[in-house]
Order: sequence, then C-alpha cells, then structure tokens
Amino acid sequence: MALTEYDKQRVLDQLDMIDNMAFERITSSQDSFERWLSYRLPDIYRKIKAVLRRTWEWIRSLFR
Amino acid sequence: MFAKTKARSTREAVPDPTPNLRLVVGLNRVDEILHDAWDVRLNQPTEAAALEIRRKCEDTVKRLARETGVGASHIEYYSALKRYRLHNILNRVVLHCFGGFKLGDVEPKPFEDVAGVDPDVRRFTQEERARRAAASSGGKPSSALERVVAEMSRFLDAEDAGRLTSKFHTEMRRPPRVAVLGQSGVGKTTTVNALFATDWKTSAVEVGTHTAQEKRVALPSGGEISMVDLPGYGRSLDEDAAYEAQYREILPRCDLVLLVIQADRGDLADDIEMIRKLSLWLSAEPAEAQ
Repeated sequence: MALTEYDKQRVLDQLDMIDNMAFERITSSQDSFERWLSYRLPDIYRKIKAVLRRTWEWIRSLFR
Repeated sequence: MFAKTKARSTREAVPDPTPNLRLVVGLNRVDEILHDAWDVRLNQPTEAAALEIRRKCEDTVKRLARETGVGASHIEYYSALKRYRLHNILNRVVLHCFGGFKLGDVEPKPFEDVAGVDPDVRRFTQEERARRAAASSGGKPSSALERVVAEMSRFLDAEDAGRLTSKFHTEMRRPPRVAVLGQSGVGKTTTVNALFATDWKTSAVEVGTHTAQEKRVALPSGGEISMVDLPGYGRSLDEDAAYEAQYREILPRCDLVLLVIQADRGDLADDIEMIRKLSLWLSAEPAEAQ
C-alpha cells in the first residue's frame, strides 16, 4: 500500500524524536562521565571541573 | 542524526533526589495498555493512543516516584516488543549506569524492522535514516569523550594526566555489568535485546532456575556488556525471601539494575516494595574492579 503524506509525516516525526533522544544521549554520557570521574579521581575532578563544563558545550556543538 | 536540538524533558527540569542511584525502572508493554491502539503498518500508536499512553504512564511514573522516593528521571515507559521509545529508556540507562558513558554509542534495534510493518514504510524509513546520517556532522559519543580526556590532560601535570588517561582507558575496556530484574514474563530478555541490539539468550538450562546467571554479550556498537539475569520475584513469599539474599549479594556489585515492570499492571505493590529495597542496596557506588 502506497504511503500517504500523513504516513510519511508520522515516520518523520518518529525519526525526529529518535534524533532528539540521540542528541540528549550526549548530555547523558557527559553527566555519566562527570559522575564517574568525581568518584574515581576526585582530586583530578576538582582541578578540571570548570574547564570540563566549558568543554561540554564545545562537544555539544559538534553534534548539532 | 542530531539534526535537531531540544531542551531536555520536563522531568530533567526537576532536581533528581537520587542522582547516584544506579537504577532504571522500565514500564514495558505500553502497547498493551489500550485496545486497538497500535498502527501496525507504521509500528506506532495512533496519535490519540500515544497521548493516552503518555497520560497513563506519566501518572504511573509520578506514583512510583512519590511512593518510593526515587527520582522520576530513573523511570521510563516503552515497548520492547514494538521497539517503541527504546531511545528514551537507553538515555536513562546511560545516565544512571555507573560508567554508563561506555554505552553512549549503542543503537537500539530499529522500529521499522518488526513483522507487520508495511514494506513501503520500511523502505521510506531506511532511506530517511540514510539521508540524515549522511547530512550529520557529528561523530560517536565515545570518540567525543576520548577527545575530552585528551583535552583535559593539557590542564594537568604529567602525573595527573597519566592517571586520568590510564584510568579512563581501563574503564573503557571494562564491560558494564547490568542486572535485569522483574517479575516472571514481563519481557526482560526482549528488553535487553531490543535496547542493546544484542542476541542475549537465556538458555533452556537457565530458564526457570532459581540462581543468578551472568554472561558477557557482544555489543554491535563495539565492546561487550555483562548481563546478570536474576530469578524473578513476586511468585511466593518463600521464594522472594530466598531470592532476596541473592539480590543483596549480587546487585550492589552491578553498575546498573534495570527493573522491568509491566506498564498495564494494576497492582504495583510488589514492584514498589522492590524499588524501595533497591534504593537502599544501590545508593553507594560499586567497588572498583581490580
């Protein structure tokens, strides 16, 4: 059965949602890494915390 | 991919009262909440059903969060069988698994590769996926993290930079240890295989046994995951008491516990009790692997 415009739009909406979730996973990975670092290497985490936060913004821009 | 950006969901706007809790609660089988809710050709709920599923599940999420004290960001609804909202629950797993960044490259099984989907829908979806992948400028999350670690080393002295690099690469080689738990028949195996695109099998010997089974499974995205399969609870008080000793011994050493609950289950008393117990057992970080 041929796809209607409505069918196509629903598929595109589904893929948009998946893309948004994939982008959100970048943030989840960053949060997870920061938690891991703060637990495994707390002294190093304290030293680079500020620059790490700025770097996350740069990373996110790569995926936009 | 990553063509659009969007603010994180409203659940993330509320501070998580349990940020270090290594638990994700999955409300599975949302496709069975309503009758005639599913558009099989598109493998999606109808528009009206999607709203109703969301309303009902958000109510359940709020109830579970309120009655257990667990943050709502630890709870997600989905359908493993229909591969619906798998990316949503995967994000929760990456966020709350200790070292979950190692799962950042995982791609769940595609929703269009399910029996009953119209071949034209499948073809259109795959073409659109390919078009988006070609247009994307982004790389893999893991390679982005590699770059971050290298960049951070520039701000450290040689000794600290060496420690950071060594510890990071050791962690990257260690498979995440994920325990899957839930009452019998809630779709634990289907969830794991759809979510991580794996072919994890609970062998005939293991099915129905009353002891935990651990098995390493290859991830198509690279690396491995160590899956811990636990006997289900909720069948009898005697069995639950016997299993609890196993849970208490094994679960605190896991990086994440994925608790699967049937979304349309009316009586959540056993599941609520289990979430409360898991909150106590999983509040500390796992011991470092030697």
